[in-house]
Amino acid sequence: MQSRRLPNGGRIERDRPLRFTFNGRRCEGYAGDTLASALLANGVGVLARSFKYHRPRGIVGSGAEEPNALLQLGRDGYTLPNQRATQVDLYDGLVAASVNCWPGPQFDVGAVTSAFAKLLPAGFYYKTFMWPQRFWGTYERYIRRAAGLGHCPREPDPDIYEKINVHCDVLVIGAGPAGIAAALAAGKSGARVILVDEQSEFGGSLLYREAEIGARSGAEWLRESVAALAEMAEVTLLPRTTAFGYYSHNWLALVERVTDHLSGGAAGQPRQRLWRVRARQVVLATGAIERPLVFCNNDRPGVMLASAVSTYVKRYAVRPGTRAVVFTNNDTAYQTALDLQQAGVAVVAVVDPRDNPRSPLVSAVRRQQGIEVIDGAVVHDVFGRMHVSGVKVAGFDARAATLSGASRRIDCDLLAVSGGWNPTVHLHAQSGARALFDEQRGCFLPGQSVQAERSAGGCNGEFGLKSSLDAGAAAGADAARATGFKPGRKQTYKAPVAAQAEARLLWRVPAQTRVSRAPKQFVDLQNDTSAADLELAVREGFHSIEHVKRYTALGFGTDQGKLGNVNGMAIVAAARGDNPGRPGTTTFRPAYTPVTFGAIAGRELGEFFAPVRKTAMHPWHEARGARFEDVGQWKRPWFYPQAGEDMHQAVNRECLAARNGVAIMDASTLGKIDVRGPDAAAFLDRIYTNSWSALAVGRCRYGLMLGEDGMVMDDGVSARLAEDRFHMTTTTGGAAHVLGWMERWLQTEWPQLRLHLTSVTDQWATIGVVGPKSRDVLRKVCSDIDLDAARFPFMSFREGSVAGVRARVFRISFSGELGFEINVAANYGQGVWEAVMAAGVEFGITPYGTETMHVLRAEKGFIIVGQDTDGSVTPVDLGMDWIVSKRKDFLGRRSLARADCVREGRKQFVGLLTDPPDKVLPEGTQLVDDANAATPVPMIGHVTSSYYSACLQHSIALALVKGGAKRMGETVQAPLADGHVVSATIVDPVFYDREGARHNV
Amino acid sequence: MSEIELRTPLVAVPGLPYRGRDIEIVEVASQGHVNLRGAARNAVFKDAVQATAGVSLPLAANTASGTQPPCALWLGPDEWLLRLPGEAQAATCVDALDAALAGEFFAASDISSAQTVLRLSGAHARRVLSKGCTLDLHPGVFGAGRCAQTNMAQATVILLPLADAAGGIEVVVRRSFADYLARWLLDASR
Repeated sequence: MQSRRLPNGGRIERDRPLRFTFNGRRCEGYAGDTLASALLANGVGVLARSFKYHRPRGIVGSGAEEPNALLQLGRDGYTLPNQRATQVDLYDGLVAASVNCWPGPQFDVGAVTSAFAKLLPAGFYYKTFMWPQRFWGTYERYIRRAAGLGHCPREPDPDIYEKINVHCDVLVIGAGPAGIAAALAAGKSGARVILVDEQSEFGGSLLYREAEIGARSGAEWLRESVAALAEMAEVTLLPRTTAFGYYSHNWLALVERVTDHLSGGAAGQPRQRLWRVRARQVVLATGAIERPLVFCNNDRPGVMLASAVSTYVKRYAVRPGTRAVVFTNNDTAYQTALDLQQAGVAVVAVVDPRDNPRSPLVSAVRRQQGIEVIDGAVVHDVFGRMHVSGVKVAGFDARAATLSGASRRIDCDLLAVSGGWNPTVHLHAQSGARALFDEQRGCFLPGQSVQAERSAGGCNGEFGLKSSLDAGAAAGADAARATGFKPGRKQTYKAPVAAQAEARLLWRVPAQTRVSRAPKQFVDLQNDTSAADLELAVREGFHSIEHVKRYTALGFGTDQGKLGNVNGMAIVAAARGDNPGRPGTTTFRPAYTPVTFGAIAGRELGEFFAPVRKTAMHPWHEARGARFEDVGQWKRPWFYPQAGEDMHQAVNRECLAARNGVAIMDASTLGKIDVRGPDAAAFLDRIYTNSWSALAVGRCRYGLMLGEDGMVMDDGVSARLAEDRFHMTTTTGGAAHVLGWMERWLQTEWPQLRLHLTSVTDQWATIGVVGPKSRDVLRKVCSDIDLDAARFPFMSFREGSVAGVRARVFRISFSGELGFEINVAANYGQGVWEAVMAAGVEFGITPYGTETMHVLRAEKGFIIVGQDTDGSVTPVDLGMDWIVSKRKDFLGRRSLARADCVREGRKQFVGLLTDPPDKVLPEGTQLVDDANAATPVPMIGHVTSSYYSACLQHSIALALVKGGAKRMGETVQAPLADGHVVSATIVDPVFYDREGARHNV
Repeated sequence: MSEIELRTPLVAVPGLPYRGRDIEIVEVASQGHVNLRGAARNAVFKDAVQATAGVSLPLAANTASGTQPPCALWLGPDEWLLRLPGEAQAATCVDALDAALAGEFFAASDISSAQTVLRLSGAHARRVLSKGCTLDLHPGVFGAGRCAQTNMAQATVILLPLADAAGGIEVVVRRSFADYLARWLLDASR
């Protein structure tokens, strides 16, 4: 039942009917409709309640400016809150619902607040709920529930969003006459052009305004121009795409609604696509938004922008009313009167505050039968609560800015208003430029450009069709020329230019009583901010427009004050006794219209949230049923549970295999850096705390790196491959940082040192073979290296082959057992691993993961940088003075002499043995001397590592304890989160094989 | 010679090679990769590279001496990537350079196992890459003869445009990131 649909006309496709529901009511529209036009066609007048007073609200505009028609679309995971019905393309099966009302917009319980409206002035919440502060949480919960717009989906978003990065010579934003002319001019020159428009169709004002361009109609010119652009190979056309952010270096963000307008989306296609555009030049052709007028009860459903009324009539063939009054301070809305008349809507009056305006358009309206032009007059109030039923018209005394004479009632169900036009300067302002107030035209215009952008057409105050086209063509040509293209001769368009009578600026229509007593004159419909609120704010001392915004909520919300801001600023100016442009604008921030989180996230979620790095043996670990642990970006095997085993059992089994037999682990994730050049050893002397120049070729050494602050930064074993070459290893997580750190010193501080650093982390697969039987296993796969204990001693390396693959074998140990680390080219990593496994079968070789590695090293008191250290720990704190050279300089050395680094009572690295012996302390547990001491209990340290040692059959922990090195044998207490207190004895951090006999075999 | 099976980084990624509409993704595995460091003005160094690998080192930033191995890609004022037809050639090349340049200040590292190559071809190749890369990949700007080090999604890569008419591009990626990147590209090619 499209009761308000005109029998013919419009750009809709009448042979493609679409069904949709609104608040459960079945409705019908056509392809080419927006949800707003379809709702109007179905006679829906009230579709929302206002934010604060729950007043009934209807559709006001026809685009991004719409403050009221915010609807919840779709269901379940697909639902989207606060969608502007004016920008939602209708699709079959669309489900829409009102948001800020219960049970519905026609009858809304929340509307009781309207009765207390007088008690809810600007700043009401600040003033009322300030005290007592601790109750704010409670207040907030109810206030938020009472306000609230739509609701977020509770389910994960089932749709896909993606991002794309593009570069272009000329980005044209807005595809009205100016934008199309700009794109044509730039495109013809061969420049790479992107033309975007937020609507489903290009054309801007040509979609609802009849025009003549050259010898053709506006519609024909539009069709031909878009077809010509589509033919150009370097031109990209993006309808349904909003340029929402203009950032530095001409970087702009666009969001394309790819399948939002399709019923049920489209398989395989993203719902939306975020375009990240680097444009060499930008042409802003974003047009202008009509300004409403501020008068009493101007928020009643049925009060609409005149341009929106024309749009619904001409583009969508919808009659927004049956009996209309037009209220305008300028000529453009006179066309609306003609449009309505032509569509069969009775236009009973045009009310105009100007005295006897003269122009061809005004004369044309005066000639129409039945239209009374009431000049020198204003609409100052509106009748009707749920919908306009009439208006109050009175004379206007411009000089005194008061009403004059008697007020009369005119019955109508539609009031089309126009207070002039606000150029859409949002992107210009976002680019860093400042919009300037033009006193003559009464609007903000683009100021001096800060980036490579220019404005053309309505957004530059060029409101006529010919001036828009010509300005667009010039801007497009200039932009192309600026990027090195030759756009040819300057183009001008032939289009009729109609003389217009000057507008009369009218920021607020006087009321019959004082503003604060009169019915509400709304400035910002979305936030229910009235003229009285603004005046109150100024009276209470809020003079800066930014303060007024925050006090009254003017310009907040999803529409960011696209309708109300300029009127609001002028009203504030008047209250301050200033010129209208004096308070300036609030900051225009991205996004121009709201953007979904989905589009911002793109594909960077789930498995693509962060890179997952895998070693060459990863498929083997997976096949073996390993549980994985994230270490940096790497996936490392954590433990390999066998059938029926829990983690604890698996780790105990793996630990005992390493201590008593042989075990194997994937150590490929360790950072590896090839350090090569005549000054390699001298460089390492400066990077590590210990000395490297004396290390013999073929030998390995453990090294510690400090930051400039003297704190432990990284560690690892490095080997001297040759006089001028080292194979350095770093921690898994520290690899990239260490390489960057060394490059920084090499390139910026010590460029005279001759050496090169090359990351070879990914080149080598590293297989650790650990345990008393490791040599036996290795013998079976390695024939060209003498593995004899004396000839291949601990802390040395050999080159040879393992399983026939060229290998570097290091005899080092992070477990305390006899151990070898086999490095082979990663392409053969899994093959060699499998060969070692096969060789180890007879010895019961057991793969083990990071958890067992941690237990084994903790038994030996070996630190893990980043676990036992936290950036506040020096080598001395760790009891590792032995590795700090006294004879040479190195990074961090001078900081070690700082007073704070040598004071008594620093936290020092110790071991802890718990009582009872099977109680494993949680890592991070705080340690105290007396858990029953008065609060705050002095804390003396914390547990950094803690495990159950199957080998020692005791819980062991590593900890940092104040003055710990001197407290051996003392007892500390560990209060747990569950209230229990565990006692622990401070011991040496080396729990197992203090003499190091086990690895020296 | 080794009995051990060579496993390329992407051998286990389901969906590779991928042939979609206007897009093909394949792993170009087992090529030789050598990271080369040395002074461009050192004639001994340059001549040895020319003699050993058969390529002359490009000196202009972000250029490549060719699009197919053997070729050299400029990575920095004193750093190149040598691409050779197979990993055996890389090992030979490194050994030969070490021998020829004994006493010279340079470094050649065989990194054939450290990285792999994904070749994207077809009319949509550059569009797919643009989803994860902020560089201008327009063929007029980034054509054959150029190369670039950049980020693709969250992996660091080297891009090498091919000389084919469809504007294919090869992506050199570190081994440990290859699985992530391949899955990402497959997703982006849907």
